[in-house]
Amino acid sequence: MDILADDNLPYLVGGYVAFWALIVGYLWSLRRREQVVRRELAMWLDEEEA
Amino acid sequence: MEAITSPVGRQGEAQVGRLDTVRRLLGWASIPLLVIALYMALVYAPPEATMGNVYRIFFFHMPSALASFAGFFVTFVASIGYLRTRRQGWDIWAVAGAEVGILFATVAIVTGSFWARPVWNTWWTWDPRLTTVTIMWLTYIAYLMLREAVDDPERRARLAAVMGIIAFANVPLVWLSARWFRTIHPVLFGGTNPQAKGDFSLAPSMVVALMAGMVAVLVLWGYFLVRRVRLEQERARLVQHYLEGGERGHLG
Repeated sequence: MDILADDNLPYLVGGYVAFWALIVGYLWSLRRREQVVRRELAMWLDEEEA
Repeated sequence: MEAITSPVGRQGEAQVGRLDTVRRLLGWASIPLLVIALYMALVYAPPEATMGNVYRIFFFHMPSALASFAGFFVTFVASIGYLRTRRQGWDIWAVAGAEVGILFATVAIVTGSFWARPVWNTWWTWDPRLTTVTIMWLTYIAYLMLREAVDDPERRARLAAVMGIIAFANVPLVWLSARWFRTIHPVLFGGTNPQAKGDFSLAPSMVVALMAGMVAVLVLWGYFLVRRVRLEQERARLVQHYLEGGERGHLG
């Protein structure tokens, strides 16, 4: 592939890695916050039942 | 994520169920679309005559910038909606739009910087486009900080709505900055810029690759937005439980 022979390959790779790192990082952050809220809701409901 | 059966405010269960369905659809659709967009950007589109392959960052850089504008537009509309109706649902969409907008603005800034280094010979320059983008980014960071600083939910929503409307004034300026001012940022649509460094003409196959990137990134944007809205709805539900519990003597 001619892309691999390009002198600017590190910048191209860097740009794409940065894109995916930010997207996956945000997904991870969303997931963590969802888990915290869900856990607190579950705790609250358990307390209510008790 | 579990479906919420007790919706926030006046939102009906059916509406919450629809949001969950939309979230799932967007999430699953974004995976093949991103794969196709990656293929189009890295394989299908030809190298650019002067920049070679590094210009391929553009296929995700520009859609990310547009996704950030879309996020801030959601905040703008939802802020107006909140001030008109005082319904919490609008405030939830406003915060989700701002956060997702900041994410994609960050993506656009960082990927743009990787593209600028070989083409402009610098990671960053205080060019009008980059300066207005930075002001936009900082304004919406301040918007989220304002929300964190105010405890009273109604006051927080009101102040945030005012800021969400004012902050949007800068968004069209970001778009127009490369057309109105002397800048080295390329203008590919709706204008020309003789000072631009890294400007290029889009070949038909590049347009196709750009469209694939646009669709993929905007579907991903929609997925994040709806998922963030659902998180905020769950938080509101939790706060409601605490308040009801507090009234019944569960708290304090």
